[in-house]
Amino acid sequence: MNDADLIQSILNGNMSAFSYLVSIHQKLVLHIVRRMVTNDEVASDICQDVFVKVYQKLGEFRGHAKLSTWIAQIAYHHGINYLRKKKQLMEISVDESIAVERQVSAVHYEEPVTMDEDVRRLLLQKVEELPQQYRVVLTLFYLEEFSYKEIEEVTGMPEGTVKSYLSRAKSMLREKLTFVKQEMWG
Amino acid sequence: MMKEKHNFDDLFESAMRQEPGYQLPDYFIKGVNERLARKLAFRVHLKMMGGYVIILASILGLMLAGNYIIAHYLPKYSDYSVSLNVAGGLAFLVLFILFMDRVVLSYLASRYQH
Repeated sequence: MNDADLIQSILNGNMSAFSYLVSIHQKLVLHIVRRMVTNDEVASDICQDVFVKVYQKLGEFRGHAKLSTWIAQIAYHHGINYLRKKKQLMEISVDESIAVERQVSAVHYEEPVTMDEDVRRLLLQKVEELPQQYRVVLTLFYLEEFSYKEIEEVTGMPEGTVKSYLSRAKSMLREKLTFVKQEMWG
Repeated sequence: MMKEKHNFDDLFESAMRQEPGYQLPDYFIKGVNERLARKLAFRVHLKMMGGYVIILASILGLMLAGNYIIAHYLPKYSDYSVSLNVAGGLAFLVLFILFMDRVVLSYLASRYQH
């Protein structure tokens, strides 16, 4: 069943089709929301709201983008709105991101790590310390394999900003793992 | 130096592409459907309220027309005209009770059930 058929079926009132849509996109929505909100229960609650909104707005979907991109867009904006309401959003401009980069780079860790798997785990831990928008962009690009254009559609950030966030996030993480580099690759 | 860069890039790529292991509860899809059903039921009840509003507005309109006819053409029956304040107050009260009973209570009941 392609996206158009699925949407038509849901608009005709087929709730099983809607459950199917939820089942195939729940991971995408969870990845985006969970990257912004650290609490599992809150994230699950937001994900439910996202799908309710998807259902309510499905009639407005005109097929100008992929369904997954459109759903990701709703999830991203819902997450951002939640963080704004809770005043937990670390909003950053490109200029400010340099300051964040310096601030994050200043943190060093002393626990020695010797295995690739440990470094990978540590790297994922450090991702959680990045500002929310960086985390979402990283998730969309690497985990969901969205193109720059699609990330632009989801987040509303210009393509250049997306590229800059990706590059800065990577260099921040590289700095964070400086000591590991010295231990392992030095 | 090049080797170091290469290793970090590989590690970074593989870490970022790795499934983070976030989990949604087993009842997630059921929860979405229930939440959606509540929202839709609320809308249906509001629409139903719209129907009641139309009926009450019609009754009020008829009262108004009756009052007009009595005042202009049948002044000797003026004792039978209904005060507009009373009619408006009654209509508001009926609407409020219907809204609380059909919309708010149904919504709260479905939430409580959930």
